[in-house]
Amino acid sequence: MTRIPELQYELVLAAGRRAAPRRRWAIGRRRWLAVALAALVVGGGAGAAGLAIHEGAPIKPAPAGDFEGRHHIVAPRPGTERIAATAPDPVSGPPWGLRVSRGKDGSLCVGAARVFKGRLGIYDATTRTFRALPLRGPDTCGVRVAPRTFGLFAALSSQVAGSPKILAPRDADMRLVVYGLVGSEVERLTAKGPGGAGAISISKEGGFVAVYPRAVFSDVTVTAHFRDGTTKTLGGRPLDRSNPTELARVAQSRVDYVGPPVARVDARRVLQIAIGCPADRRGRRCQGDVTLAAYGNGRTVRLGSHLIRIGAGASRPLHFRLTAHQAGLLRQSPRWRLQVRVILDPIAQQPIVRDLELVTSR
Amino acid sequence: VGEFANLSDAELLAATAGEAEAFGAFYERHEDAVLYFFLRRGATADLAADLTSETFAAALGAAHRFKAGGPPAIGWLYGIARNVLAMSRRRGAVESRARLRLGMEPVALTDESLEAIERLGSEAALTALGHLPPAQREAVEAYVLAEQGYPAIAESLRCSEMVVRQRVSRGLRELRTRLEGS
Repeated sequence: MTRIPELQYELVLAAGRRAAPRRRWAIGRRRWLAVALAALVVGGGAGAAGLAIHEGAPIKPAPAGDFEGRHHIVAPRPGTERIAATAPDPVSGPPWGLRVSRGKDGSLCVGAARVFKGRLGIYDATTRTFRALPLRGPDTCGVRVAPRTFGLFAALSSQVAGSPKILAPRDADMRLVVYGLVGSEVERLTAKGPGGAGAISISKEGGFVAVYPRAVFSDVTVTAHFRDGTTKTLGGRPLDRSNPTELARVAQSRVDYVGPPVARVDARRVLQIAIGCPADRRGRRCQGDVTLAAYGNGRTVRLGSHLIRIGAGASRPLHFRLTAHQAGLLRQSPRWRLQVRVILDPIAQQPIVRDLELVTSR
Repeated sequence: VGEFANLSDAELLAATAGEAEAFGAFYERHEDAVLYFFLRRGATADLAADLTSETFAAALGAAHRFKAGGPPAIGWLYGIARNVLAMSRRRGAVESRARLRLGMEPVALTDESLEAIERLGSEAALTALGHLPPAQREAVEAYVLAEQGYPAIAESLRCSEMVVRQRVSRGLRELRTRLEGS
């Protein structure tokens, strides 16, 4: 452990960025070789990533009691999962992947994280340790795909280059992971982000995943091109802060916390947050970029972020998965503050940050 | 970082081009030495952190130019630290060009980091270290703070392993005497 872990982390990221142009060139020149190597990593080879990756203990699934029953949260059905799409990490380590499975209600469930030996998991770059994620907990069910479906999830992850040593990762330290499923009428996807414009591959199952370093969702736009020539774009444009209607709707948003008391938070649990956002007179819906952060003892722990689409009323509960380190830090904090950034659709997209204090019992 | 424990400084710098984490290991190995370099020259904890940040940013920018057979890495790093300090004094502000060139943001220090740096500066043994003759101090710093082995120190100081052992041994004896006296 260093005295300034934040500096060590910044330096590793900077070193990764310096190495990145050479890697991009290599991919351009030897695309098929790169694809084959990525497949090796996904399928079981460890050598493609350079030095060996260690396997830590798998993370235990969330308690079954957190699902179904009174919580009305659908859990994925074991044995139905597969890695539907992959994308390389822009800095280092195993690629990212989209895991798709079937929920017990027949809906699809999705989750995105690092992929190693065909399994989804978290990766600590400082110790080169991979820990497999369980199916029940991190993945979100309730996704239904129609021919013209174009929906996406965006997650800010600090696990990526991820050092659990970093107590308060900033946006710049994180990856933006954009993933989701599209219907059969979507012909192709294109994206514009900090690294320029490009295509996002769609797997035969309709899955996609793209990873951006040092980005937030408003930095990236993803466009679906439909077979009939129409397009639909998500992400991007700054919010008009001078429009009082938009601000008023943000102020009306409601947050319900349905997680365990702080004293009982541990890495096996999934925190669930529901966001309520009433439709305005024109029937527009909210779109929420929700970041869960915890403040306490002078520390900030950023736990994760979801992009969601909310109708009138409350959203489905969002799942925030904690690492053991984050859970340990939270237990030291008597108070949490949820940082909720709500943005509007279709006006989109620079979020307004609104802190909602959540006092939890010990 | 454990993966890199057996690599020399020169090997870590060479590996940085392909493995970003190698530079993280290099940083971890020399963080205390560089922080202390600045603390010993009167820097406060937050100033020492900024100067250390710029020093390692400059080292990262120049890592590909480091030659294994040339000057030792720790001496090379101290040379960068001296330049950063001199430039910062001349400008009246912490030099930041290397950090900006790399697109690194200023590090927001946590209370824990500041306390850890202050501890480094206030540890009595380290204060006493500043009073050792330069040759002994350099050897003890490399052995204790940078956790380098005798062969690596001998290579970096360009002397025999036996001489390094003697300098470390005498330096530590001198430190003990001073600390017991205080």
